[in-house]
Amino acid sequence: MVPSRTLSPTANLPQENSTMNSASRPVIGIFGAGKSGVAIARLALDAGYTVHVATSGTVEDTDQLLRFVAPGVIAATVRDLLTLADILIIAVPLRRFRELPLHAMAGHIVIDVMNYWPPIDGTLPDFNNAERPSSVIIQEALPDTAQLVKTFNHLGYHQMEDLPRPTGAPDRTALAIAGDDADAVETVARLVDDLGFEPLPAGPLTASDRLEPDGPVFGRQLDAMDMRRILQTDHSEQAA
Amino acid sequence: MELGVFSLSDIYPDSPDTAASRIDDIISYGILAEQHGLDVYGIGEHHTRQFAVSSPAVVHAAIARATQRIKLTTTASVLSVLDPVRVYQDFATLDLVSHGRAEIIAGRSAFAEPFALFGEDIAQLDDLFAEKLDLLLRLREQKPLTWEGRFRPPLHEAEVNPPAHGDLPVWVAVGGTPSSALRAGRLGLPMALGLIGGTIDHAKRLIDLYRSAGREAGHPAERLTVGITSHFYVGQSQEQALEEFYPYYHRYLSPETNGGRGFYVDRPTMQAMASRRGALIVGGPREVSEKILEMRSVLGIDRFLGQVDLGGMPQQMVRDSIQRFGDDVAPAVRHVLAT
Repeated sequence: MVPSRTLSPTANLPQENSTMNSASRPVIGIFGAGKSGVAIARLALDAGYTVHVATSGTVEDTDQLLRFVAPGVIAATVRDLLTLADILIIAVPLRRFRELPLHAMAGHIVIDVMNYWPPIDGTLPDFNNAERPSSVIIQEALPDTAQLVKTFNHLGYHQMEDLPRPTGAPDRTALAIAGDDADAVETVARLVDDLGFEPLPAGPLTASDRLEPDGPVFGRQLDAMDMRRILQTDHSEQAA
Repeated sequence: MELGVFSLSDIYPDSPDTAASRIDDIISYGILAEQHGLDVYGIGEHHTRQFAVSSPAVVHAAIARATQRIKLTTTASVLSVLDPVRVYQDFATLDLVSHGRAEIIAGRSAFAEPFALFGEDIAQLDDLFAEKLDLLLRLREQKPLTWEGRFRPPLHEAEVNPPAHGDLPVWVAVGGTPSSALRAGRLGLPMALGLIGGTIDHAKRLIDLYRSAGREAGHPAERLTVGITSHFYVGQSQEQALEEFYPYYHRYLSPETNGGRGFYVDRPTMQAMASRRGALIVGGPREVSEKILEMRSVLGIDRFLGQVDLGGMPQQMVRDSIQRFGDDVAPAVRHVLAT
């Protein structure tokens, strides 16, 4: 449920001049200026999106940082991000996601870039031995009208920087997209496509464990055909 | 420009290597690096059985007495979980043992285990690192210190001994997180940037941020020193180097050797990483020299350290790589920079 002022019928058409049409695109708001947050911000900016980033530091610090690592991306407060952006992207360490104003994300599409990865983050009680994907736990912490979509999490930040290719390129890398709301998945698929990756819907959040660190596509540079095959194989094995 | 090598002391699971044999190897590589004219030798600190060294100062002490010139650094010290008083004492002692060659590269930790081991809360990682770095820097001043923080008992007019021989350089290890580069610059400390994957362009953005933050905070340009670390192998030729290095690199990066957090690198990906703008420094002496010079000219770096010993590489292969680096690459780099 994206505010209608930002989505026009042309938003998903191929765009000759991205800056000319940028007003019709959803505004992107990213929580976190770490490795992944910055990589996504740069890609979205290059694709002609307006991008805001908020961090746990001051806006001045965020601005100083962005001037070098992602010039053109706008520093914002965490609060402002909620009003400025249509699509919110959570790219903070998973152990810190509850510090975000989750209740205020109602009505937004929210992209979950985080991973539960104990060797790096340590053991998190909410997520350890949870027997359900981390994104399901995050969805439960969000208001009902927030639509959570998981993607970008399974590529490293260097891969995100190096692998984007235009639509139709033979060596295009696929990004799996898991989410419960078809419209939200479609909107995120357009974003993924614009950023230079082949969007591949990968079922509901309950199946998003296949995108997680122990899953079959994590960290792998795959084209859409290979990724579809791997996800289907993995799925039928699980079902069997 | 300083050139050196380092080991993280990883023990390849399916090899006959033990912590004892790896420590022997790592001491011998440090001595060899000095014999071939390299400037710096680094040893990492890790706290799981997959690695041989949890206490780099102790291993460095053995190298110190068999060498005269080479700087002995850490790649890196896990300062977030350690008591800065003890870290200072260990490295001030190493500084006396080595007659002024000890150095610390202070890191936040790439792994979770040390936090459980030392009873620190990983959720406080940023605050822990900032506070402990602050105390370590104050201790370097070698004056009776009154200090108070959140994570350890206060100090009152404390004298911490021994005083180091020299000024005991402290670098900040940065892995790619922009806020870490910003902090290092503001503190005016030298930055050791780990270039693992990605491109020189990515490193340039972080270095520009670091230098700008340092200048804005009023630190003179000459204090804003940058070192790069990278996976590394010098073979006889580019082709042979890639061929020989690939199997070890593949298994070093794999999840099996990284407690589940690795990935499988394929040959074309490795080749792309070793290309001119890529992060991987693997090639013949000519290619490695050119790449170090390119990093020097594009990034303005003051130091390059290569991770010379990884994934169970045979001892002779590591020794050959150190020898080619010291005998062929280093003179070529120094020659170009001197002209």
